Amino acid sequence: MSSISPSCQILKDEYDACFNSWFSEHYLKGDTKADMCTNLFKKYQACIKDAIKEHKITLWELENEPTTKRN
Amino acid sequence: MVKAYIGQWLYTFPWSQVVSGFWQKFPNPYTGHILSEDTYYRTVTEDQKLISKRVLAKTNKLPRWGERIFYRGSASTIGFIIEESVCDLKEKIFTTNTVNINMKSLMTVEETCTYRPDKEDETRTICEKRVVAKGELFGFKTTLETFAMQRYKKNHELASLGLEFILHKLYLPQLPPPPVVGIKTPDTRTFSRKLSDKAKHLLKSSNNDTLEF
Repeated sequence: MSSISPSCQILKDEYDACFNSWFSEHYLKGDTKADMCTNLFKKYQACIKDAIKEHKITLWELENEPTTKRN
Repeated sequence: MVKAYIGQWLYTFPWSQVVSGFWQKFPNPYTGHILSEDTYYRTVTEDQKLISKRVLAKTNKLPRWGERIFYRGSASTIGFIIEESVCDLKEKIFTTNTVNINMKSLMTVEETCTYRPDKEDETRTICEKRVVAKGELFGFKTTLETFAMQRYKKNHELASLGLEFILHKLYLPQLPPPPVVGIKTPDTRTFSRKLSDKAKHLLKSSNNDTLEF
């Protein structure tokens, strides 16, 4: 799937591939440690943040902690 | 006044496959209006919940009357949606919440979907949807809500068919892909029958009700 910015596409594809593999092979089987794709995600996330700024979208959620309640 | 819609969708795939497929559902033949999808936040909580946030870009056409009234020179034909989701591994509940972030001064359309294993048959997954449309502009509230709800009803079935299409591609690759039918006015009964014949699975959309309050 396309990224919001073509400049993030390679980073997105690499991260998505890692995440999908982690999700089905590790997370769903109960191994929920999330460090497998962390480095890829950090690079991808930085790229997305810049792209979003270019699009002038206010994504206050980006700066804050998740709004979802933790039980 | 606020308009709300409640619906249900049955996937003929187990919960673990539906939630795995959820992340890979774009692109598919049914959701051509989604232009991009990016994850910008993701974490696993201490109690093993996976929390994710994605931003989706989509085409965002207003009806003609809306363009005349609301076009202010900066109106874009691209809209952005925030999708927040919580995957509760222990309880096997996957909840998604999507809301528009543009044009909030006109209206807010918020959809919540909950995916759980079907209690009667754990090889299937039930998705419950609830959407609320709220017009914000005095004098146009009801018109905006009606428009938003009509568009939602037209699109939400396509979104479910899109995920179903991807699930077949991922988990039943030996079978021919489900026929893409009726993108403008989907006939789910025909679609279901064709799928059932080939996959020997039951695909069925269930009762939908519209509430107004």
